[in-house]
Amino acid sequence: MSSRSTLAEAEPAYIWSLDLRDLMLIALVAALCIVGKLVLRVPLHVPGHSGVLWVGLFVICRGLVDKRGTGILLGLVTGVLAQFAGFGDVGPLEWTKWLAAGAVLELLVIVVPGDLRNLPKAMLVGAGLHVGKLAALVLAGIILRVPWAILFLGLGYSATTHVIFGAVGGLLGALALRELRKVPALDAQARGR
Amino acid sequence: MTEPAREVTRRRRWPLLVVAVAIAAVVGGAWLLQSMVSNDSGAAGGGAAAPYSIKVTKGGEVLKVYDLAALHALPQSAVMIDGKEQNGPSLPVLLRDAGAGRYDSVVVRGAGLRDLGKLTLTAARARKRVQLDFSDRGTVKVCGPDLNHAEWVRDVVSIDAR
Repeated sequence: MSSRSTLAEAEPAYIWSLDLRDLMLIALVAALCIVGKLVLRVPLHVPGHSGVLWVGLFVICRGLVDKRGTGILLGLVTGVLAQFAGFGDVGPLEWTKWLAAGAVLELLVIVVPGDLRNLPKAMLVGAGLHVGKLAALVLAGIILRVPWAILFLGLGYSATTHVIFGAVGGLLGALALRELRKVPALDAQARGR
Repeated sequence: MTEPAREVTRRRRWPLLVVAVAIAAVVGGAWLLQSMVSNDSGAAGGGAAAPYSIKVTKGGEVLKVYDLAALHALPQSAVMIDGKEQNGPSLPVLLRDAGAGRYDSVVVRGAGLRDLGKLTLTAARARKRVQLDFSDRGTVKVCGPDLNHAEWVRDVVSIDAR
């Protein structure tokens, strides 16, 4: 192995090296998250159940575009879509939830060693980013001076279900990622080639 | 497994444990905050968290304040919207009970966290199948089969008849 290729494997790629395929994948996943949340309404009446889908998509996207900062960009794009796509029934700080989820995803991918195909890591990342989104919602409520009685009502239950659904989403995302990485073109993309 | 290999495994594992503990701490904190607002004493933030209630006013004057028990005590009705039953007192029933009398319009205000947080209805629209529904979170939303989904107000805090 040449010293050049060793250097390339040791140094992580960053967001400014994203190519057109990466950007298209990020945009596609962001759109799928919003459409999925809108269309696939499962009457479970449990907070955070829709996370199974979008957390899985976030994990897949970050696994396929393995460049630092991708999670934040993905969260930002999804947030902008959620805020301005014209659904009209979201609060003014809706975008912050998605950005927070993307930021937590990025942070955990960097902090926890290993690949996102690793099931425990993917479950932990999924749980973390989903609960990060909930934390951003609470923070937005504090900024908007929402009465605490409303803001904190059912918060413990909600946080617990967010962790569970996030972990399940992460698990499904990792399993899907394992299969997707078997496709040579997607594997090459994940490796930045 | 050799000692260096064990060391590498241990090094790879501890961030996983730290993150797991951090997530557990966040969930624990959430339960703590929930327990604070669940207590009727409203201990959170030095009494800042009073139990959930809806204030019904007319021209700024408070007519009545309803907590969840008071809302449950009103005559209940139900409407089906998108396959889901919305249960609770209707808006006209609530306004009648509060003694709102005649009004030209009704302004519903919510926390504004999950929606736009404000809905203005003419008297005619307010009387047309506008429903209060008890949400799973323990708050109340205003909805109706003749209202757009985007018009719904979740976590209602006040209703003003004008």
